[in-house]
Amino acid sequence: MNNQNTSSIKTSPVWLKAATNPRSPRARLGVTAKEFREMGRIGGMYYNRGDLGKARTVFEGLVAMDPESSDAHAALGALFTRTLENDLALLHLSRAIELDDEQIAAYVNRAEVRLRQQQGEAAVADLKRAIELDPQQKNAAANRARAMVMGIHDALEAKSVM
Amino acid sequence: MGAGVGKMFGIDKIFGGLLDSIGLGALKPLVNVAFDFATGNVPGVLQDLTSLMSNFANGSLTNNVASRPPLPETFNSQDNEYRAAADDQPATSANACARRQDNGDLSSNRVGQLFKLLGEVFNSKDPSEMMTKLSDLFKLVSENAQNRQTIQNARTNVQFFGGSSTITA
Repeated sequence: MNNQNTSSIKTSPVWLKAATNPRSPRARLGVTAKEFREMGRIGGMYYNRGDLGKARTVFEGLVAMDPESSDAHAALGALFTRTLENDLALLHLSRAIELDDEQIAAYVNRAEVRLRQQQGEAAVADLKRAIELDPQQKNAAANRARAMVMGIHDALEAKSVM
Repeated sequence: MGAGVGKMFGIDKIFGGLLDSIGLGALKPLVNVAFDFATGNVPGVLQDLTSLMSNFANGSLTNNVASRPPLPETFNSQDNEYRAAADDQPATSANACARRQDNGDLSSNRVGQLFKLLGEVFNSKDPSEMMTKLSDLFKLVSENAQNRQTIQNARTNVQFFGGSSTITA
């Protein structure tokens, strides 16, 4: 499943680049911030229902519409994290963080992908950043990072005892 | 830290319950290969991290933890499509129905406009993959708007007949 859509890795930057030149499709279509957010929430609704095909259609459309949107990249990255398409997930999550270095969800998901790819230290760095961005402990994504830290620690400790 | 973070926070056997419940049960075998004990650095970093979570209680874990790879907050729609529009409106119960009826800007008409614009603004020189993705997006959004309208119509009918029965009673 990890390599299910690796062909898109090659094609994505092409259309992303074209879409940004000269103005984003979002600007050319006059899609407002509220409309963009609402489309994202429709994608979120499909995502939360588990209808990942439709969620992917929405999130890919939003990335095509506005390649400079951290939210769109973070959402698509979350979906690829969920479908275990690690390379695609990393591509979009890293882009989301480049565009907005306070994008908590992207850090948490990138940590999960990096763990799968056996990059423990990089994963912990992302978890740390996510946790630091939510000092009030109110953000569900950052709390997922906290749960992951606890789990990692316990797993390491169990291993050291063995 | 001999007691383990789970025990420190009063959550024993963390892999047996909580992490499984949030879809992270598969973490344990990954952790064993993801960290290199030879460096000795990672456990130290983790220890630093736990100090950032000193007040992270069991309740926070079970009540407010993303149960799947999280979306950015602006796109999060945990319940249904109506919540998104409702979040942008003043929280009064008096206009709750009106809020649902006037659900943001993405009515069928607006999506129809976007479709039309898509054909006008972009020409054949634009990358076809982008056009396909935008077209697919708008189709889904349009489908969603139509479903919303259908549900709203059904609601209005229920309210109408409900109101009639109240009057006749």
